[in-house]
Formats: sequence, structure tokens, C-alpha cells
Amino acid sequence: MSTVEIIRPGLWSSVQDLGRFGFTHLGVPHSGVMDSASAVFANGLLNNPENAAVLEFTLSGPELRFNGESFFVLSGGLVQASCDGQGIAMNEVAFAKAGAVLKIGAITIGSRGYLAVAGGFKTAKMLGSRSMYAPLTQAKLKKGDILPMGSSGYGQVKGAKIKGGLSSILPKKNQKIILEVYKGPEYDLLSSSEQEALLQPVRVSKLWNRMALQFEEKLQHGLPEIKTSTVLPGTVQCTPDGSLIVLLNDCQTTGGYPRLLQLAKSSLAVIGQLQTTDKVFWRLLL
Amino acid sequence: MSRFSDYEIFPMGDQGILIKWSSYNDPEFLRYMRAKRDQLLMRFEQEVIQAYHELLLKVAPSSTTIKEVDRLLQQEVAVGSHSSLTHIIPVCYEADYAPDLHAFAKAKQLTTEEVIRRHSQKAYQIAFLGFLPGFPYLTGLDPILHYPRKEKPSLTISQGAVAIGGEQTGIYPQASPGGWHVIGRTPIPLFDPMANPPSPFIPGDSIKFSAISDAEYRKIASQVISGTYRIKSISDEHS
Repeated sequence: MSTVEIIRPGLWSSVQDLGRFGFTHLGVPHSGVMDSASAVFANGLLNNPENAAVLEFTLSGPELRFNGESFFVLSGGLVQASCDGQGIAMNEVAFAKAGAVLKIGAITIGSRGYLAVAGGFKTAKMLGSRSMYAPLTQAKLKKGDILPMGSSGYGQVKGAKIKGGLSSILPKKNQKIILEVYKGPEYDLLSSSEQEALLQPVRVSKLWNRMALQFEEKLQHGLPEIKTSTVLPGTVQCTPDGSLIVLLNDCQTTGGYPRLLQLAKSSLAVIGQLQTTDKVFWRLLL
Repeated sequence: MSRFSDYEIFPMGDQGILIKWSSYNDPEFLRYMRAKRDQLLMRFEQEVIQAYHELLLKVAPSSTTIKEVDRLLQQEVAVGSHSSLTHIIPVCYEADYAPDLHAFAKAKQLTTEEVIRRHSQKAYQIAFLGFLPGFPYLTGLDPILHYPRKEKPSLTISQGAVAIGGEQTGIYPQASPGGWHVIGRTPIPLFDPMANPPSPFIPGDSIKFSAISDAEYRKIASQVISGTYRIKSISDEHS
């Protein structure tokens, strides 16, 4: 079986598939790729099942060695990469010879990138999924980790190359980043002036990871804490001191802060590509 | 069951249907929620997350699905027909395992012995699991032991920490940051993804803490490592 070996992991890299479902009653979150649009696109180009596990990296990419030859695709945030010194184009199928070293640089637009391989990564499944989440698995990849790759018929049929355009979810220069949201269960506890303040544009703070993302601006409010309630990735909570926090893929399954907004499903991939200082506009759907 | 008919249904964005009940102070309510959860699971075959007075069904809300949920909630349901268990959880409340016990007792103007006695003398019902894999939310904490969460959460609470926060007590199945006050620690694992099921706790079951010494803690810990430790669980009788 072919494998990939991690030489340098990058800032925060992990193996993710589309998520772990059916265990929220045990307090196990969904996890899974933060930008499913880019991950599914990369798998599609390789004719992988859309749930094939990929390597997700954050802000700065990994360096790794292909111990066996493989077709691969890089997608997600804009990043430079080279394989044995040769530049690799994003969103296109590339080929690595056995022993080739792939170096992925720092993301310049967006925050998360994906490396998909033909056949997918075949790391061990825990509770039905390959998505890394501590304590079920290690939290993230480290130097020396070996990732088995699946076998695939990709490339065997001459001339059968899947092409596809990706309508990028990355924000273009000067384009507004819009997050579509619905009212959350506690939205109506806010006064109308508080609701207006809530829906003002906000900027991403330095505090974000796979569990949650916090905005800079605080909301002045008189909301009570609520008894521990159910939450989902995309739930926007407000803490006692007014911090606005969007819960994300690795978030806990329950929470005690008022739930003011709920991200539309289509906005989850957008938030997966946000980084510090990005300005976000809310669009309230009714 | 008409006495639990005070509920509202909210769409949770475009991904879920939230059922929110009024606050019921009734042990029957937990059993009722468990029965309703099972009903929803069977009908929709999608995840149902549970909290104190809520169920969240991971089904896209539409007029059809919401009507169907409402219809199911109106239906009579057999409650309490399955027996529940009380799990005995050994806890060491000694100083090395209880970093916040002394300060907690002082703030409550109790002796540490009194805190330990009150904490371990009754069984707590498991309302639901959440926050971390295998973390049980327990009801029934003696009001004398209620105490607000820390203003500034601790960066590391150890695996197995037994803690109090607000009106609740619980056990941390993994090390984690947290704002609760740690008054003891259990040597037994509460969540094992390789086990079937990964957690022994089911909402409606109960937990009773049993004080152990430092020596007993280490003995149980080595039994856990060698795989010979078994949780003691007693069947409850329900008429």
C-alpha cells in the first residue's frame, strides 16, 4: 500500500472527511472538513467518493513525501506548492512519482487548504469516520506520521481526464464577504436596537480554530445566561461580556450561552476560509 | 402525556428542528424526553441532540417535517418501561486530586468533610451527555453546594476531574479547559471510542459518587490499565 509521510506538518494539519455522524448524543461533534466545497471538488477531480479523506491544512501547509506514486489535487485557499521543485497548479490533477517531496507554502487568500489523493487517505476510522478529533484520535498531524493511501483506478484509462471549474468561494479582492444567517432561538430576547447592533458588519479576531471563531466587536446586551442547550456548527453565541462566537465543526454539542443567529448551511464553507481581520456582512434570511 | 405539552418548535437555521419545552422540575420529564427522543430517532433516522429542556432533530425544517414532528409530540408514548441503572463512581476527594475543594468549602462556609458528605450522599440523574465526548450533565445537586462558575476558566482540568459549576455537578472525561470547581477525581475512564458503547451513561440513568482513599485510587487506576476494572452498576426498580 502506498503511503505519504509527513516531513513538516504545517501550522495545523489533520486528516478529515465529511464528518462523524450519529454520536452527538455522546457529546461527540461532527468534525469534518471546514470548507466542504473545496474538499469535495478536489475529490471529484480524482474520481474519489466525495467522502474520501483529505489532508486539511491551515494557514501554512505541510511538506510531505510520497512513498508511492500518486495522482493528487490541491484546492482551497490560494497557496503556492512545488513537487520535487516543479510548481503545482491548484484545482488540477497532478502526479507525484514514488519518493517525490511536495512542499506546500503559506495560504495568501483564505485560511484552509486541501490535499486530496487518488483513492483517498486510509487512516483508521474511529466511530465511523476518519476525521481527526481528540480524544478519539490525535488532534493534528506531526512530523513522521504515515498516512496510507487507497488504491484507485484514476489515470488508467487514457484520455479520461475529468475537468471542472470551481466557482471559488474565496472572496475576490474588494468583494464583500457575506454570511447568510437565520434568527437563532434566543434572537427575540434582544431589543430591536440590540438586534440592529448585532447585524452590523464584524471583523474576525485572532481567536479562531476548528471549534469556534470569535469576532472583534462586542454586543452590548442584557441577555441572561441560558440553561445548557443544544447547538450546531454555525450557531452564533453571545457570551456575558458580549463576545460573538460562531461555533464550528469541532464545537461541543451543547452550550450555555444565548444563541442569536444560525448560519445557513451554504455559509459554513465560507466561514471555513475566513482569517483574522476579514470583515463580514450578515445577511438575515427569513 | 398532556402534562409535558408546553413546548415550542423552532427551525434551527436550515439544518435542524428545535423542540423547546418549558422548565419542568419533574424527574418523570427526563424519562419522557428519552421516550420522545427514541420516537423521533425511529421516525426520522437522523441525529437528535438533547439538553435539559430541548431536543434538536437534525432534519431540514419545512412545513412538512415540522408538522410531522408536532404530530409525534402530541402522540402518547410509553414512558419508563425500560429499567435504568445507578452507576457507582469512585472519587478521591483528597487534596492532591481536589485542587479547588479547600477554596470552595471556605467560600460556602462549610468544612471539606461536609462538602464531601453532601456531594456523595445522593444519586444524581444523568440528564444528557454533551460539552465533551462522554461528559454527563447531572441533575439534583444539593442547593447548598451550588456555586457560580469561575470568572476565569482554568486552562487545564485533569481527565476524571469531578467538579461543580453553577447548579450542576459533572465529571470531565478528558482533560480540558473549564470553569467548574474541581473537588475530586475518579480513576475510571468514562469514554472509550473503542468500547461498545463508548460511554456507559444513558440519559435517565443515575450516578452516585463513592469516596475512596488515595491508596484505593491508585489500586483502581492500575486495574483500569490492566483492563480488569468493571464499573459497579445497580439496577433501579421502577413500578
